[in-house]
Amino acid sequence: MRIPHSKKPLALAVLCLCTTLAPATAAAQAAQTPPVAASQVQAGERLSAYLLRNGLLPSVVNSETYYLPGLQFRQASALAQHNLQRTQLLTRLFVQLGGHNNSYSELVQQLPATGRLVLPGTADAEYLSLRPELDPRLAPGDEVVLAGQPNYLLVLGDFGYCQVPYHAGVEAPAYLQACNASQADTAWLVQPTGTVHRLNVGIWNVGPQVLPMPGAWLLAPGRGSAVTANTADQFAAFLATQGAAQLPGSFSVGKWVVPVNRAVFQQAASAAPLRSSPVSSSTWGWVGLMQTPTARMRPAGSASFTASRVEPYSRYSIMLQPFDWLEGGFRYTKITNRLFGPAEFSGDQKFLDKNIDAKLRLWTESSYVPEISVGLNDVGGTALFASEYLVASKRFGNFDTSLGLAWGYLGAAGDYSSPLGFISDKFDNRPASNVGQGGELAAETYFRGRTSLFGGVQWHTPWDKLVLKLEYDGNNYQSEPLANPQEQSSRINYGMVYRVSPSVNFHLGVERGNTLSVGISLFENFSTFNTPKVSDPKPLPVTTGPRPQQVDWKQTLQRLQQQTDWQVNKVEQRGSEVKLNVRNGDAAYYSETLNRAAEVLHQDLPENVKWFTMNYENNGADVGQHVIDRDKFVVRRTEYGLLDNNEKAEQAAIEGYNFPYRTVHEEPTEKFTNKFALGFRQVLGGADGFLYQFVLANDTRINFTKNTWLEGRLAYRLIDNFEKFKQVGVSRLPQVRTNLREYAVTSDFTIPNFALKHMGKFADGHYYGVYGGLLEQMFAGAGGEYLYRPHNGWYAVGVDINKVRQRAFEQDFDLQNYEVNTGHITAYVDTGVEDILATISVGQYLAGDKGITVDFSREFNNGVRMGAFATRTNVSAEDFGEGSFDKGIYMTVPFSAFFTKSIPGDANFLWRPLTRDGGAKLNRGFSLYGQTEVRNPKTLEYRP
Amino acid sequence: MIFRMLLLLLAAPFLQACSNLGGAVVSAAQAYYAGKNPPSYASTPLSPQYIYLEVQAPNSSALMVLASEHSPAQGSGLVETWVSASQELLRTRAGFVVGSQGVPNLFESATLQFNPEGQVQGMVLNHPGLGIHQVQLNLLPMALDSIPLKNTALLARARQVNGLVLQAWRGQLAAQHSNSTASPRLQALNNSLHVVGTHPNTGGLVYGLYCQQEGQCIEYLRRTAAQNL
Repeated sequence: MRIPHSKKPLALAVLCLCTTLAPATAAAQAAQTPPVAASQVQAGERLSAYLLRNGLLPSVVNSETYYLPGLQFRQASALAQHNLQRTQLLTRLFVQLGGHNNSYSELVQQLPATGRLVLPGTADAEYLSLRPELDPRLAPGDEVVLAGQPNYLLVLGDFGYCQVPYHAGVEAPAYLQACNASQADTAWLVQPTGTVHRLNVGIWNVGPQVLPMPGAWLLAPGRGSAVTANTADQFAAFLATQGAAQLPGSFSVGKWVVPVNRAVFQQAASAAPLRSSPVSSSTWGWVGLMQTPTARMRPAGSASFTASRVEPYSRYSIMLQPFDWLEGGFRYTKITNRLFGPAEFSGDQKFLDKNIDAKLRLWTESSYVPEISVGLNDVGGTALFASEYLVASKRFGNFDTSLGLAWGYLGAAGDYSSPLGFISDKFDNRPASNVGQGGELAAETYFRGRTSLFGGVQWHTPWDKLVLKLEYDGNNYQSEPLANPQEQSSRINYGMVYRVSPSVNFHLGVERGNTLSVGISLFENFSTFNTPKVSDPKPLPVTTGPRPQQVDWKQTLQRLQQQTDWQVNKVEQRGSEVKLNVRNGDAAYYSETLNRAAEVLHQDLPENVKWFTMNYENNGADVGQHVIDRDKFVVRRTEYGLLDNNEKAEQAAIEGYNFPYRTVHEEPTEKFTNKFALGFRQVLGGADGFLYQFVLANDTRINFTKNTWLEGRLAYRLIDNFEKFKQVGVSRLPQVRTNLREYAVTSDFTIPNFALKHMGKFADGHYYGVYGGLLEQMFAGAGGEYLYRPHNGWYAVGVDINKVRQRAFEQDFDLQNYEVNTGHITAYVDTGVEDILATISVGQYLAGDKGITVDFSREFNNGVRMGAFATRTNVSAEDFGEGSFDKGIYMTVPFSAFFTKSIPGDANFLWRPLTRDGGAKLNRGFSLYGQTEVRNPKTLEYRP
Repeated sequence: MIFRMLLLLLAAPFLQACSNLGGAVVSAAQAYYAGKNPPSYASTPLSPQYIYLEVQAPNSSALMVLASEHSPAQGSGLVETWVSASQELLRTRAGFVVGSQGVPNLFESATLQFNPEGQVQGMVLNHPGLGIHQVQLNLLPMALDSIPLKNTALLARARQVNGLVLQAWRGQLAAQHSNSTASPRLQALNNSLHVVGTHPNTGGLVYGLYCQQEGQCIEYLRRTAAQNL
C-alpha cells in the first residue's frame, strides 16, 4: 500500500484499530489530521499484519512523516497499569523532592499514561511476521500511534529541561554539556523505541556509550541530586512508554527551560568514542601497574594468566575473580640465578617458589572518593615475597592514578615507620617469617615493620590499543630473597601495555631504571563465556494449529534424542499429562534442553496433551522431574506480550507423584556400552619440571539391572616424558598419594578402575549407593554412600563409608598390604549469599588421619564455578610435609561453553600446590550429590 | 580464545570423563571449516515458483527468496524484501541494499534519495549496531576501473548475462555531517562502495555489491529457474 507523503512532517498520525476509541490520551488529543485513514480492524490480527497492510515498513515510508522507531503500540488493557506507574512515580518524586514544584513532577503530571507495549526489538513488520514471539496481537481498543521524526532530544535534569538539536554520531555527555548538565555521573537514555540504557557519564566512571536516536530522552539527575537511582530507573521506565520525546503542549516551558550551548557540538562531533579505563595485569599477575598493585578489579567471573620476566624472576600467575570485590590466585616464581636444589637431586632446575595472593576491595569509587583495596601477597607459600598493602585508585578520564602503602616485599625500601605503631609496638618491627613447611598463614608478620609509599598513573592513549604506565616502586631490591640483591638505579618504573585483542595483552617496560620487563597476559570473563551453538540441530519451529491425532513414539523419541541427546526408555500417560522416563540423562543447560524436548513433543503430540513431564531416572533411581506447561510454552513461542513476566514460567521442577500412569511405549534399556577416549595429564612445579602423559583409554559399562552395573577403564600409555620423572615421594605418613611416580611409570597398560556399582532410593530425597572393586588408580575396596537431598532444597547431607586397600603400582588386580577405613559426613549448603556453595566434610582420610575439609565456591549463572578448599587433619605440619596442609583453588567451566555443540559435563581446572598424603580423600568415581544434581533449585536457572 | 584453549588443555586430565567430547571437538572443527568455506548454492535446483537472491557475506552465504515488493513513498523502484531459511532478511531497491535484519554488521535500514532525473544520489542510513541513526550519505558515481572490483565467483556468474550493465557509487558523508568526518563512528560509513549490475534490456537487478569497508562486503546475485546464473 502506498503511503502518501505528508506535508506536515511532525504531525501525529493515530491509526486506530478499534471501532470504539481508546480512552483519550494527550498524544491522541494532540494529533493532527491523520494522513492515513484508519484501517479496518481485523480481530486478533498481528501488529505486523496491520503495519504491512498500511505499508509502514522501513525504507518504504518516509521517516520524516512516519518515524518507525517511535512507533507506539498502545494496549487499552495496560492503561490502568501505566496510570498506577505514573502515580507511584509522582509520589516518589514528591517525597524525594519535597513537593511538586519541580521540573520532574510537573513534566510527569503532564505526560499521559499511554498503555504502550515496548517492542523487544525492531518495528520492522516483515521481520516481526517471521518471529511471532516478537509480534504482538492486537485487541479491540488498542491503538498504533506514529509521529514524524523529531530532530531533537530532550534532556531532563535538576535544572529543568533542554531541547537539543540531534547530531548524528554524538554521544550523550555532549548533549548534557550543551545543557550545562555535565555534573551528572549517570544518565538514563530512553530511546524512542522504549529501550532504556543506563550510561556512565562522569569523568571517573565514563565508559562506552550507546548513542541517542533522534527523539530520545536523556534523564540526568545531577551529582548529589535528591532523585535516587531507583527513582530515575522508574522515571526512565515511564518515559519509555511515551515514544519519541516531546513536551506536552500545556507544559510551562518558560519556567524550566535552559538554553542550549550549541558550540559544544563543534568539538563533540569529531571526538573519539568514550571508553572505559582498561584494567590490566602487573608483572605479578594481579591487576596493577608494573610492580605495584592498584585498587582495581576485573569483573566477577574473570580469570587471567600472566607470564612475565624481570631479571632474575620469571613469574607465571593465574588469578581468579570470583566476586567483584575479591581477586585471588597463585603464582610460580622461578628465580633463574638460583638452583632448585643440589645438582644430584634436581640437575640445573632453577629455584621455583609458589605463592598465593589475595586482594580485597574495601570501597568502590564514586565522584569524590577513590576505590580502595587491601592485598596480601604470598600468603600461603614460603613467604619469600610476603607483602601487604593498602591502595587507593582514582580515575580522571583517560588517566587512572593510584597511591598505596606497602609492608614487606613491596615496601622493602622501608622509607617510613609503620603508621600502625601507635596501636602497638609490635607493628614497628616485622618478624622474620617462620615459614616452616610453608603453606601456613604467617599472620604474625602481617602489616608489621617499616613501610614504603608506592603509586603511579596509567594513561589510556588516544590509540585505543596502547596504555602507558608510570610508577614509583616501594622496593629498593636490596633485601631480595635467597640473598639475591638487585641493582636499582631508579625507583621510577615505566612501560606500556599493547592490547593485541580483547583477551591478550603484551607488556614491555623498564624497571629499577636498568632492567627490561616483558610479559604477556591472557584473560577472559568466564561468567559470560559461551560459544555459538552452530553445530546443534536446528531448533524445530513452534506453530499453532491442528496437531496429529496419533503418535509414532519410536520416531518421536528418535527426534527427541537428536535434539536433546536424551534416551527415553518409557512413555506413560495420565489424562492430559505425558511422562517420559529419561534414563541417565544429563544436559549442559536443562532449560534449553527442555525447550528442545518441548518443540519435538509439541510438534508430534495430540492437542489434548497439555503437560510434558520429564522424569529423570539416574541408575534406576528417580531423582526429580521437570514439567512443561504446553499451553504456556506455545504462547511464549508464538505470542508477544501475553505472558506477564511475573507469571510462573512454563518449566517447573517437581518431586514427582505416585499416581497411576498408563504405559504407552517402552524401549529396551541399553545393556552394554564401549567407547574409546584420549586422556592427558601433567605434573607441574616439581624438581623434574613439566611432565606430561597421553593415554588411550577404553571405557566399558555393562548394565545388569537398571540399578546395577559394572564399569571399567583400560588405559595404555601413548606418549609421555615421564622418563624425566625422577622425584620419589617421601612422607612420614602412609604413602597414599605420594607414590604418584610409581603408579605413572611402572606399567604401560593399566586398569584405572573396574567396579560393580548399585544405586537406589529409599524414599523421596533419600538415596543410596554401594560399590566394590578397583575404585581408583591407587585403591581398591568396597563402600557405600547415603545422601539426603530434599527437592529444591538449599542443603543436602551425605555420608560415605569405605574399606579400601592400596593397589599394586602396575594397576592390575594385585593389592599391596596397606589397608584403611575411610569415609566422611558431608554437608552441602547453598548459603544464599553471593551464590556461594559451601561444602563441609568431616571424617577419616586415606592416611588414617581425621579432620575436616571446607570448600567454598561461587557459581555463576552460566554454570562456571570458582572455588577454593582446604583440609586440616590431626596430622602436624611437620608430618604433613611441605605445604603444611592440603589446599587448592579450582575453576569448573561447562564443556558446552567451549564448543559449537551442546554437551553436558564440566572442564575442571584444579591447582593444588603439592600432592601430599595428609588430608587425601578416596576418589570413589561415584557421587550421589552429582547423580542428583537435577534436584538443585537452580537447575532451570542456568543459561549459557 | 587463546586463553580458553589453554584452559581446556590444563583441564585435560578430566576430559576423558566426558564421552561426548570427541564428537564436540569434531563438530567444532567442522563448524570452523564451514565458517571459512561457506556453501555455494550454484548448483542448487531452483523452483520456478520463486525468485531467488544468492548472497555471499564474509564467512557466510545464503539463498534467499523474494518475499514481498513494496512501492515506496518517494522515488522510483520497488523495495524488495528477501528472506532466508534462517529468518535473515535483506531489502533491496534499485539494486542497492537498503535494509536488513539478522545479518551481522549490516545496517538496518536506509532510504534512497533520487534526483529529479530519477537517478540515485544519496541515502539516509540507520545502523543501530554502530549507534548510527539518520545519517545522510551522498552517493557519488564512480568509474568501474577506479574501484577495487574483484572478479568473484558471483560476479563471474552475473557476467553470463550479455551486456550486463555495471555501475558503481561511493558513499560519502553529507555536508551536514562535515563536523563529524573525524568521528570514528561515522567514518565507518564513509567511502562505502555500492555496485549494481542490471540487465541491459529489462533494467532489472542481476548483481549487487555493498562494501561498508574493505573486506566487509556483501554481494548478491538474482536468480530464477528461467535465468539460473
